Amino acid sequence: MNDDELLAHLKATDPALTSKAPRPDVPRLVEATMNTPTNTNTTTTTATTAVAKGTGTRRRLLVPAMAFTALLLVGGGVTWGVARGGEGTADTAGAGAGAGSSDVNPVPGLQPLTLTFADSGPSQVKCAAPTPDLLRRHEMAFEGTVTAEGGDRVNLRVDHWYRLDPNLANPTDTVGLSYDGAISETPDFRIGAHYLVTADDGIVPICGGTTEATDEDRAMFREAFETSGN
Amino acid sequence: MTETEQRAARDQRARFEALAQVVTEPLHRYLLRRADADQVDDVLSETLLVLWRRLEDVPGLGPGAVPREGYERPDPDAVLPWCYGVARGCLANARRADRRRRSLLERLTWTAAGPARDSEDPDHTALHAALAQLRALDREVVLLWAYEELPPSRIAEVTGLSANAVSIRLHRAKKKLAAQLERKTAPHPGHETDEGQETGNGNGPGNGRSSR
Repeated sequence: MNDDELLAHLKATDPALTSKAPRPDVPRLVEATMNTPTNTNTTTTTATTAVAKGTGTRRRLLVPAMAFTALLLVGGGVTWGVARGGEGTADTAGAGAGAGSSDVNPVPGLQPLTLTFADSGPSQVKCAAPTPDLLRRHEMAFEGTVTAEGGDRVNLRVDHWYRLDPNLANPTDTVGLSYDGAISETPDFRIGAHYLVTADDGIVPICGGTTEATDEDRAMFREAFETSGN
Repeated sequence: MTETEQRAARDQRARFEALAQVVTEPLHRYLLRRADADQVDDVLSETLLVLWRRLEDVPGLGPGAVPREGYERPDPDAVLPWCYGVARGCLANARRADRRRRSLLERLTWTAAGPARDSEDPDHTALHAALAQLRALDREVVLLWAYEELPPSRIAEVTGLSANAVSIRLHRAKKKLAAQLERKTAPHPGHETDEGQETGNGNGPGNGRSSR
């Protein structure tokens, strides 16, 4: 199948062409937009960026707490139940688990910790280079190896905890990491590759220094979390 | 409000109207292609609100780019990629908010199957299944290429990637997609129907699967 055939195939299934949704009423939308008090809406659209930048407060506490609890309750079991029994994206995940490691959820009843990538919000994000001082601010940091990937989620086997969240009820050696709407600063996760990850309240900040591990980055993580006096 | 301020406010409204005339329908189609049906209108409103608030940031819509009188339509090629980027961010926010309401199981089922579509055409199902197997960012790059008909340099504006990275991702994703579609649509000896074949991924020769 060449490019043109693929393009034709994709275009034939364009949901916008088959949709029965009425076309948008532009004048009404424009009026409604310009008459909306902007302050009330700032929260929804910029909250994510705020979280990523570390300035969010209420949302920062509430959302991850809720998501975290829910994911801890049903996270790994359901994920892998679906992954192994299902089809589609599950195929990739299942194959990865088989090829990578058998310890996806080694202890029955002990669910893997699940983290979520912070969203970048509408703007394009370019992060400042991390420094030990910036890294040190995060509640959690570890190095892990990707054991499974599928859809918008990867599983990492923790190779080394640089800092473990003291509130974590079930520290496990497997961490699930989900992300959608991935952006340029999100590392490209590959099975078997090593990554350095930081997180706060179950959220992996986009500019938190999470990256594919190199000796240089490891040295910086060690300096941030393992040298005396921090 | 002084006369200058009034004029500035009128100016801003006229510029936004001109922008909205150009981008609203393409943004609506962008969302129809990606969002759940019940999310489309809300995310479109949210996107327009962000554009209204950030009017000064829209590339190709600076004071110099639009004639001060008459407010001709801005160039869609110049403004649309940035606006798609805003819609993309708003959709990601909406999905995240939505996830808090849905159970995890529902979410995973949705992710695996892709958004529910009206069409039951098996070709469409195969294509959506193949698309669902791509990484989120790769899928977005492919859709921007195929549906929004953007060149890599514009896709780069939407996604924040470099044009070079877009070209590489696009090339790989297209190859992967084509391979998966060919595998699924290939005739299978002994079977009249293709139903059920998709679940048997484990017993094939394995070629075409990601080996990374």
